[in-house]
Amino acid sequence: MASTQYEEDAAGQTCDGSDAITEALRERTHELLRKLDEGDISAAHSLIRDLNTARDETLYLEVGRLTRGLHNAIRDFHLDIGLNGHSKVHNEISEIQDAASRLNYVINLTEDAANTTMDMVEAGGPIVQALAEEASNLKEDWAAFRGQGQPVSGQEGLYARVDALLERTVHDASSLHHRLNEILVAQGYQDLSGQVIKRVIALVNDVEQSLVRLVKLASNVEAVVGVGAPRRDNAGLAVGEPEDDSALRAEGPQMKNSKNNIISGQDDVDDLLSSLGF
Amino acid sequence: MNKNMKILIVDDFSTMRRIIKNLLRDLGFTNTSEADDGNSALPMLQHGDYDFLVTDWNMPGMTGIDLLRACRADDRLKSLPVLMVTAEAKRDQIIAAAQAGVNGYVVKPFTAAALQEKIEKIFERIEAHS
Repeated sequence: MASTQYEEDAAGQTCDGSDAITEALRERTHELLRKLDEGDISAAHSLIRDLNTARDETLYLEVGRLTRGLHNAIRDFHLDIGLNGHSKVHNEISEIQDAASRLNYVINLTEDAANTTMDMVEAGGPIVQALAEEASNLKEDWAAFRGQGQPVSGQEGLYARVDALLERTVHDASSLHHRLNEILVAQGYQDLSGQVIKRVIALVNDVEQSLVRLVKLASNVEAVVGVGAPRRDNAGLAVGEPEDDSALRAEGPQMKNSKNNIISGQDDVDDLLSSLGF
Repeated sequence: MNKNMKILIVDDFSTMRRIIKNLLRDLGFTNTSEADDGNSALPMLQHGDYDFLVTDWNMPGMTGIDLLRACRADDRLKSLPVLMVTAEAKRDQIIAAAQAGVNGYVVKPFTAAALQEKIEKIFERIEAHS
């Protein structure tokens, strides 16, 4: 989130408006009383006018700050509202919308990973079961052969079954191995969804800070007008560090079609690299 | 391809390091070490005699692209083969990685086959040039 000069001003000057008006009130009240005592009604009227002007000017200043604060918040989060209230189409989608689509991406990603894992387990289970059954049947035959020299299925039958089981073991082990690898790779969702969630957490924090700043600005207006909650000291409100916004800044996983200039998969990466002579 | 070559895997997510480590072991490469960002990886590379670097891009501290640039700027590491395995998928980023001298680029989420293919390609090319 880009921090602006204005935000720094707002953080440093939040008290000025209402403090100035209070100071003006205090100074001129004594003078007003004195003029009234002296019977100088015209000078007293002039002082009251001055007070009103000072109050109005402070009010305009604070309303101006609040308005700029609102504009800023809208611009910072790329909300799809024009600054004059009409809808304006931005090149970039709003960060809030972007966050929502990122979170949807996390849902899809975790769902895909869970489904892949369960598919592989479901497919692997029967393979293991069939191997275990066949081995267990053969074991009885083998025990009979070892004990009496004569297997139940005949000697030739036993050899054929051992051959078949060995062949099947080699084949099924390789197929199980492939499925275990698929399960392993599917766990990559943790990294990708973690990157996305970290970004959304940062956005939520930014939104919170902006809202707190807006509330502070609004409370200045209230203080000048003389209505609303008593002023509180807002200490410890950090203003975001200006961020390097280069095109190469790491952004985490990309949602398909979310922004221009995004490569859609490994094939496109390979095409781009081979066009660069790789 | 020398199956005993020393490989450094750099990613801030331990899950991803574990996935890559297991996939590499499956391909026969067992001599692997891990680091969680460029700052911890660079000294390991400078003193560890590594043959191959597999790195993520988006990491706190030193990013993968900065690690790659630091390697290319270091006489001892300028020809170290580097494979980037990352979710970063903007054209500009891939071009920047290519210009910085990356040897291969795999986008997450990836398949075991894609990782294997890129690694084989990197070493085929190196062997063809040596």
